[in-house]
Amino acid sequence: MKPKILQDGLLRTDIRITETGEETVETLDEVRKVYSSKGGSYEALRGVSLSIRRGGFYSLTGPSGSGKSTLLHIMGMLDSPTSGKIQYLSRQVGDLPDSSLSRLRGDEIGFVFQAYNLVQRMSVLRNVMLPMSFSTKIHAAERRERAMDLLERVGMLGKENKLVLQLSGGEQQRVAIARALANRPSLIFADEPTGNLDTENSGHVMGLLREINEDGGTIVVATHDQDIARFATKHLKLRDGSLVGDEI
Amino acid sequence: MVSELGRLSISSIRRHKLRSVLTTLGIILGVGSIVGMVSLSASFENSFLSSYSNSFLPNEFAVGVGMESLGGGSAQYNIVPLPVFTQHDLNAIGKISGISSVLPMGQITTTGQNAVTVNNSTIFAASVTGTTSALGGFLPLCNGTAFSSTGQAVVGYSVARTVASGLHSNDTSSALGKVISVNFGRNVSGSFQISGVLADSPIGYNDLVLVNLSYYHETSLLNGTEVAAYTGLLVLTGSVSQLNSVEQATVSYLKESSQARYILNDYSNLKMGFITVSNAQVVQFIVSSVQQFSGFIIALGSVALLVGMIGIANIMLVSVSERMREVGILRAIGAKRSEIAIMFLIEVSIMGVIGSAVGLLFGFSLALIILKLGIFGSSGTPLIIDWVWVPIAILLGIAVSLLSGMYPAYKASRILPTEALRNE
Ligand SMILES: Nc1ncnc2c1ncn2[C@@H]1O[C@H](COP(=O)(O)OP(=O)(O)OP(=O)(O)O)[C@@H](O)[C@H]1O
Ligand SMILES: [Mg+2]
Repeated sequence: MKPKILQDGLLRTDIRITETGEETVETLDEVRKVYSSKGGSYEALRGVSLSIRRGGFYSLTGPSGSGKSTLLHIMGMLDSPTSGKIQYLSRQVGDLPDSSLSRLRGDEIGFVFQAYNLVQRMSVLRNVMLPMSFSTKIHAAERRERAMDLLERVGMLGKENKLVLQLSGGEQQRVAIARALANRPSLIFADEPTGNLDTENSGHVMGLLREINEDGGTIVVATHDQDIARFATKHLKLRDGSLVGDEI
Repeated sequence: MVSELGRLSISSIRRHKLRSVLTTLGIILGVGSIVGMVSLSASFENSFLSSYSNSFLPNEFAVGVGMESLGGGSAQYNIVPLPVFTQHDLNAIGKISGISSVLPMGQITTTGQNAVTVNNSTIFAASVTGTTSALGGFLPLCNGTAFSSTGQAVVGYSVARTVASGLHSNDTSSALGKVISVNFGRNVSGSFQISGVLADSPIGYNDLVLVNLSYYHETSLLNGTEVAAYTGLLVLTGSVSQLNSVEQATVSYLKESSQARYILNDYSNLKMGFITVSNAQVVQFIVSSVQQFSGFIIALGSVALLVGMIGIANIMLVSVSERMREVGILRAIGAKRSEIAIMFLIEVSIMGVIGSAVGLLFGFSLALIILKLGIFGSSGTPLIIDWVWVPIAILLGIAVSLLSGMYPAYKASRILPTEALRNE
């Protein structure tokens, strides 16, 4: 990994998305992330400030190692920043204890990963229902029906009883999208969702995300693929841990 | 939520069958040996006490000479048949308050291998003792009556079985009327018709051949004069509650005012003294020997449990590190740290419950097999299952597994989801 010299003030770019008239779902203010290990420390995010508006379809691009996954995890409350503030709607996320944070994450955020990250030994249906069991948002009696609706939406109806290991990569990612939608989240974060897929399947997955966005879903897709980024309508560009622009 | 975590736990257990079996092995062995031994010991005690409840009197004790230091029930087996108790002493003891009657016992020294025979075949281990026809009041009979003439004998249960046709016969009544021969040595012998059989006794009377006291001729020197003296006495007290104080009073009398104390002095050998052994003491001794043995096995079982706990903790740690990604996934979709811990605790306690259930079966079977095989001379002893052990064992299994699963579960709850989800 090439050493990155921190030149404070020079590389840091502050981009605030400030279109008016749209509700802000999440705001990051001067978020830094420093990874420390025995070999030293590395600043992966160097003061990132941004706002995510409801209904937005964002791409997050940048070269490998620029901090896309790190930023996505922090926005998704899966990781905490070393410094800086995160506000989700009216709440200061940094003040929340783990249990509240986990609930908030389960209720309000859906993740889609490059490696799908489904529970291999469970059925497709169980995987989609799993987030609902950690939440109170969907009533227990409605969970199966909702999961089936979601599977229908991603074109996986009829395969609900298959085990995850019996599915192709494209199919797994569609199930993962259904799972991400399980609790009607306000935000969906997808980290290289097409990274392991061929062009056809990539198109299918991005098409699904676009549909979700058209239905009102707020989505952030991290990718280094410009064709994928073009599905989005707003763009965030990272370089060396800093936002450097709003183009692809 | 819990049901979903439980589902994940169960599927994890089922996916790693061998590992799960290994995990539960410590619990199975630990719980099994504890439960098995407790059942075994309870079975022994029960069958022992019930089958012998009619064969000895609880308000009885024996008086003899023996190693005082050994004490307790073991003294029964250390009584030395020294002729020290004179008729004078017997009468005096009979007057001690709380004592209702005294029976003289004179062990007759027989010679040669063929001391006691029936139809010319030897009855091994038989020990001939002279006493009075009052014996029935001291030693319960299961067949017949005490002898009423010098030509009759009362025999112990084992002797009767041999006479009746061998060891495997429990029908001792057919020994009644049979004739046994006793070789008293110096070419003196006698024939005795069996008039009664002593009830099966746990306390050492099964090999007795009781004949009229007139066959007993031992004497001892008391101040230079030869006097008749018995080798032992059987004493009945008015009630069981008086037993201890009466035993003490008897020993005090023997030590302080008896003729026997002078006679015993002349047998200046070793550290012999007057001892009393109550039937209850002997029974208690036998029962406690069994309990000591099972205590030992229970200790082993506890060690197995402890070792099992370390094993469980280890295997769970492996399981946790193998399931990092799964933990990361669950955290990403909303699981709290505590819920991750709960998932692993559910998993380990399911194995605990299964382990202790199998351990229970294993323990009961072990006890049954030991009883059936007749190890420890227990054949025919019915298995006593104390159902209290079922919930205790299950709780024990859960407690042990939870305890050993705590640290791995804590580790799992501390897994950083971002680390766990990092692309491979
Ligand atoms: N746990 C960690 N410890 C130390 N350094 C880390 C850790 N996670 C990420 N990094 C470093 O932080 C930087 C940003 O990583 P991140 O995964 O966010 O990049 P990315 O933009 O997602 O890259 P890619 O496109 O390859 O996925 C990288 O240099 C990476 O090596
Ligand atoms: Mg990445």
